[in-house]
Amino acid sequence: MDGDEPEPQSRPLSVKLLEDGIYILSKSFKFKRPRGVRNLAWWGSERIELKNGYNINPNIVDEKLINEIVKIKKLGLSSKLIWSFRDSLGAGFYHKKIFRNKLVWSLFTKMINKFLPYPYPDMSQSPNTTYPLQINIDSKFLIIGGGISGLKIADELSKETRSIVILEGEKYGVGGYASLLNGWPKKIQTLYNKLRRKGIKVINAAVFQGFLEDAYIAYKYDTEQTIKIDADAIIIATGGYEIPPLFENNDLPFIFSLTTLLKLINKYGYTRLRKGVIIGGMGDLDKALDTLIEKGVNITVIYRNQAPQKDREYLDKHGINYVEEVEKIRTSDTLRVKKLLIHSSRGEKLNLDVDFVAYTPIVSPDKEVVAQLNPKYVFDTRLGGYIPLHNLSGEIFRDKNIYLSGISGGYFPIDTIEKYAAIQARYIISKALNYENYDIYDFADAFNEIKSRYKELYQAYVMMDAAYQDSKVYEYIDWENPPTLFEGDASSIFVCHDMDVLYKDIVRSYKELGMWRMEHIKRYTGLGTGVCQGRDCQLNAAIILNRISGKKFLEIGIFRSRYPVMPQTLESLAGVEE
Amino acid sequence: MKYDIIIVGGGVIGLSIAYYLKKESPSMKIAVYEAKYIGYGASTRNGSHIRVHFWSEPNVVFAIKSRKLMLSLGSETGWNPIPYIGGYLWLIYDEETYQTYRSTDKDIWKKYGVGVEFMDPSEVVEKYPYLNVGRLIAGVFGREDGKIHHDFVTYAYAHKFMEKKGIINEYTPVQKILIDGNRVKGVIVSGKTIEARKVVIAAGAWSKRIMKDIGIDLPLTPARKELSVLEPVKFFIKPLIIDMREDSRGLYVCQTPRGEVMGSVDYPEIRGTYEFNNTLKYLSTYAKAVTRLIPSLRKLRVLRVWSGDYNISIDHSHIMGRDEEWPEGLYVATGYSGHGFMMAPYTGYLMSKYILNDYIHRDMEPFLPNRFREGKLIKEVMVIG
Ligand SMILES: Cc1cc2nc3c(=O)[nH]c(=O)nc-3n(C[C@H](O)[C@H](O)[C@H](O)COP(=O)(O)OP(=O)(O)OC[C@H]3O[C@@H](n4cnc5c(N)ncnc54)[C@H](O)[C@@H]3O)c2cc1C
Repeated sequence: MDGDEPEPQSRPLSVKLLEDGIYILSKSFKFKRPRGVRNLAWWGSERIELKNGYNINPNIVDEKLINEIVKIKKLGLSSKLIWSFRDSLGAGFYHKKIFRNKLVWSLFTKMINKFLPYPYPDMSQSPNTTYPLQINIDSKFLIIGGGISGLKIADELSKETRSIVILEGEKYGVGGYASLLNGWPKKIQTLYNKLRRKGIKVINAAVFQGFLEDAYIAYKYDTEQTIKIDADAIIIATGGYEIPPLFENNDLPFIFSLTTLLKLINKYGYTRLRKGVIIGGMGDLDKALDTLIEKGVNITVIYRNQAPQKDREYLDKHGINYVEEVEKIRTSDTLRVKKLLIHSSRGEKLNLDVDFVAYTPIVSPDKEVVAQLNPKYVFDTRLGGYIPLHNLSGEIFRDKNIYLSGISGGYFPIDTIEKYAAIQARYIISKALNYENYDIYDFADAFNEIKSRYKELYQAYVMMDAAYQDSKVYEYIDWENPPTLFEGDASSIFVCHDMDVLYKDIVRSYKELGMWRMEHIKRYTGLGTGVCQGRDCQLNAAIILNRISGKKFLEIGIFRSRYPVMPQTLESLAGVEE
Repeated sequence: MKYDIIIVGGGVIGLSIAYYLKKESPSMKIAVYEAKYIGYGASTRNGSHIRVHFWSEPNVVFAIKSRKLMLSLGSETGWNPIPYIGGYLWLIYDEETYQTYRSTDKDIWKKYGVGVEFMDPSEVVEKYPYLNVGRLIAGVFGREDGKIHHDFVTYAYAHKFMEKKGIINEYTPVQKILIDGNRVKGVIVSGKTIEARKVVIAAGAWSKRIMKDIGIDLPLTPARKELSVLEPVKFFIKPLIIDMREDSRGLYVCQTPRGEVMGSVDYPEIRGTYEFNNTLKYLSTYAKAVTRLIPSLRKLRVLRVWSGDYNISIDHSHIMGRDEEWPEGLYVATGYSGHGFMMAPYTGYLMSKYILNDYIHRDMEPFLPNRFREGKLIKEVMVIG
């Protein structure tokens, strides 16, 4: 890449289908939604090729079936057909009395098998070909995540050693959220080039897969190779992981966080989002809007109170419509068009057709506006990105040199992050390299500063991980007062987007069977046993369980989201040396 | 607090015993103590297979009856555990093994009406065109075998037991079994004594340690096994397939009702560990073996991995009941050697009769613990995975 513009990414299938107004057909009849928009998009566009417009994995082809589905789609029956199965493998299903009849059951299973849009695997694979070879990394420091935090830490560390490797999950470019926001900002470019000159390697399309007992591995998904890691210290700088918010009618999401919006538009080239509302609040709104204006997206910004001076100047300058003191928002959606009704206390009334609603983080001053959208529960992100942090518990966390770095770039100004990363790098150097009298900042102070300034957000971040362990890092969590959330009616909203577990499935598990431990909810409903392995759904589910049962988070517990972070081909694993 | 019966361990075995005890004797005060959450042990980590084809008569008889109970569980409890009887297919690569299957079929399986089907390699290839069978000698198909949702069986027992006022305590490890003279007195939980007339140890891979504490040494070895599922594809692997090539390391593979391809290998074996981690060694060994057997799986992706313990007894058969030399009121049901899920229903059924009425059914006699003392080991070698 050598400092030039990152190559534009071609659009993955999920995005293309959505654009065509076609629900996602991915792995099963249940997945008509763009489940894990991030996941799907992120799996790499190469793997997800358009075949007849409707296939997901080029290695798996079932033309006949695809044609059938296309036919059904054209008749407009699809959603009914698919919807009727929607909680099929979730809790609701097994308990339906009718399925206790053997005949009904066998007919039903036959039907499922017939209509399942699962493809067959490619039967023509030869048994005699060789496997993709394993890649070995042997370095002093391994940094996971090439965002601003990772790069900045590498920069600091490189003052001590050049034995540093950075793994970046994205296929092209570095910079994480900062790049997402600003294209390919100068700051990142400079930093990146500097590191390159020093001989520090960035490996793109490399996803850290979690902590196996006998090895740390990553997956290079473009070449389908296993990366085996041998490093003295590992630094996790993977930012935040967006957790899908639970809004009514949001199973084909049109309400998401600003981060997701930017990813869809700026990174994945999603062009169907032409007009929408942003619920204003905090952070880098102006930069985000720069990006959206450039893409020709029509925006209205709304505020619960008065818009901050900074925002107002910006909006006026660019002639962007905004409404202050919003009192009431109502949504309604027909099949395609989402309607938004906005009332302000100044008597303004706005009736908008929108493609999306994006909100800045829930901890923003305008969370009450978000609440107007009648969300059930909203959680944005969790710290540590996609990496199953609880695997860091126990001896691994303490004995090995593993450090957690970075705070979500989406919510903090770049300067804050840079400062924090620099402090942390020095801390890591002193620890990992055993520098006794190294001049370090007081790490605890810096940590506390961030904690107190962004208390609520920080609690939300770490709450999930805290359930895993009694690690000291988490001791400041206020268990009695978990982060504020919005109340609402229980209804058919999706909690687990992979296994189609609904809010009511969780309620029923509790009410009918007295289940409130996450481990039981998982086994009973299937929640979290899909691609996300709980990364998407657990926090939301834990909150629901907490609300309905009154049990504490620590009791409700969290199950392990294990290897792999990104589904990994068998042949890449077969290529691992004995 | 005083109970009639305490069951140590909330796995499928402990819960099945609890379920049948309550069914037989609803007024009895029975409590299950579980160290973590119910199903934490092997019971919700297994492959969920059931089969009747063992190599020893006692196991075959036991498994046939257990299967029958298992299949009626749905109508009995109202929980549909989604039975799928797709058969087992053994792929055999050496003459000696082949002969053993032949003679076992003749001497045992046929006798109980579960004779298997022998196929020559061309038949196997024709019927299962997706297999790369190599120098196969024969395929053996057992049609009675299949799978059943393990979590649902475990929960069904727990649910029904609790409905009848049975007590299940989670996160309450039993620290010690209390013996008074030659009688069981109860257990210690969180430092407190809980009295009971009878105590049943059904603590899976942890049983050995618990028994050792009171001076009873059971010939058991826990061995960790790993499993994984691949992304779902259309249902094409109908039976559970066991590849018996030496270098396939006991590979078995099947497909779940969700379409996920599930399987494992027998390597590496980590003994006596209770950390349910996963290893790269397992992943790569399994990937090599399974893509050799079914090349079309090469491009499928691993979605999820997990692990659990087999609790292997010296003769690969479970231990149930009590030894008359043990303190009175002490029972075990453990050592299921990788097939305890399928044996759970009949275990619960027979154990309840034994505990309540002191009745030893002839089907359970071979599995009594005194067989080790008396040198009457069961000749069972068929452990899968
Ligand atoms: C990977 C794998 C695949 C398998 N596949 C199959 C299969 O396909 N078919 C089949 O039939 N079987 C299979 N098995 C075997 C089967 O899962 C077990 O034999 C069966 O679950 C044993 O049940 P259990 O109740 O005896 O033990 P467990 O399920 O292990 O339950 C024991 C319980 O005791 C608790 N405990 C431990 N110590 C204490 C204490 N001090 N106090 C209180 N509680 C305690 C534990 O927490 C645990 O929950 C498989 C096993 C594994 C690991």
